[in-house]
Amino acid sequence: MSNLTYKLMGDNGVKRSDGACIPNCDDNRDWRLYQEWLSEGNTPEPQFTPEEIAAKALAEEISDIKTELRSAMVWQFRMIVELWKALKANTAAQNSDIDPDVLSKAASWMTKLDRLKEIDE
Amino acid sequence: MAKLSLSNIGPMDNRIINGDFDIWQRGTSFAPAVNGAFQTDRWEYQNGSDAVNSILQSTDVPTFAESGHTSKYSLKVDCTTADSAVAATDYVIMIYRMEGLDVSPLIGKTITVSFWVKSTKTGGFMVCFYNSSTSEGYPVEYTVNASDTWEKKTVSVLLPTTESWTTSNAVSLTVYFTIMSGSDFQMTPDTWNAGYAIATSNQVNGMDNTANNFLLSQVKMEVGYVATPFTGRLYAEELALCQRYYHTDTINILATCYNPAYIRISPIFWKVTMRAVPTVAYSSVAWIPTAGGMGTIGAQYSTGSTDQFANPIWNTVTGTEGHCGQVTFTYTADAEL
Repeated sequence: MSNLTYKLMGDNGVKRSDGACIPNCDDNRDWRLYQEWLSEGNTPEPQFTPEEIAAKALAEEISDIKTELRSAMVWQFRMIVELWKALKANTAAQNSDIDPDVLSKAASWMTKLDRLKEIDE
Repeated sequence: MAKLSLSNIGPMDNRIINGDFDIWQRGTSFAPAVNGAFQTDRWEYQNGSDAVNSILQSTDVPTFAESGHTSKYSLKVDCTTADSAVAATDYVIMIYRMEGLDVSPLIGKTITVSFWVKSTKTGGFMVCFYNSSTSEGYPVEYTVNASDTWEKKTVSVLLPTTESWTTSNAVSLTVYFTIMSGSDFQMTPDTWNAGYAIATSNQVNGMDNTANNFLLSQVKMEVGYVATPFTGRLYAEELALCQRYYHTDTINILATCYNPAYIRISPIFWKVTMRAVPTVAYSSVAWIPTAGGMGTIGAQYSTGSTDQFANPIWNTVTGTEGHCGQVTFTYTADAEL
């Protein structure tokens, strides 16, 4: 068991290389062994590896995009309303007649959708 | 001198948990047994020698006619690689540790440990008692008279109030059953010795032949000088007592992806309140997301408290926030002393 290493788990304690999650608890036998390991000059691995940090960031980016796209439904409704207003007024439905915020949002959605496609590929 | 009375005769008078070796939550065969690991519940095997042993659940037990009790199993230490030359620092021991909450009522009293032993090797063996800080030990000799024959042995010791005894949930009294000991650990019998004393010079080498076996059964600790007959506990009681220190379970529960990188499940209570916040190890983890979840489960980062998992968390790679799924996993919670 002397070849075991440890990885930080934030405030929760450490994760041992055999997969055991060891709590920050002085009454825990494994935590005391970890303290001995530290006192021998050893250093635990950081909580997350660069690969894990990158994977987490990517997952968060995907989540943010999906959240924003869900809110897009509200804006789609507003677009329909704007178009309906323009048609009812019997005027040409030109870009200048449409709310600039709506146009901006539409452009943003297209960017996000492109990004999602890129990630999926 | 404590008197034999009704108060110390009965199913709960045994202060040793799993003294009848009924509970084997970690498995029943360990070949080879790992130094510093637990095999049968509550008993730790330590090997600081070149010998190799298997620790086995054995059905070889004292007969009812011999002991007045029907045991199902015994603890068997089976020597598979011998170490005939005992170095000064060599040792092979089985260890039973008691937490201070259970030792507190014993402080200042004489306790008696009785057990059945069956050893291929005859001659002097030891039971040694240690205080909380393992700064002082009290070795007691006993003799195995006949090879491979069940024999009942009894040793007594006063736990002086002047010794160091933790009365909390931390380790307090430790009992060693010595099978081999080098000269560095051999001290004077029947007295409290400063230092790491697990034997006397009369300890034989129980590891000098691969034919050697050392079996223990019906280990009992009670207050007073008298070794009363062994009486087992209800199985459920014995199991629950063991689970305070170690248990395992398989869980199947609804989980929520609360962040794209994590899933979280509802708190799960341990089977019993544990001695300390346990070390938790997971296995057979599977995350079965519902439609749209599309998660793959990653590393687990969670321990808990003495009563439950605290906010169990798993690191996922592609979970979708807000989606639910089903998680199945097996865990072990280890709060051994």
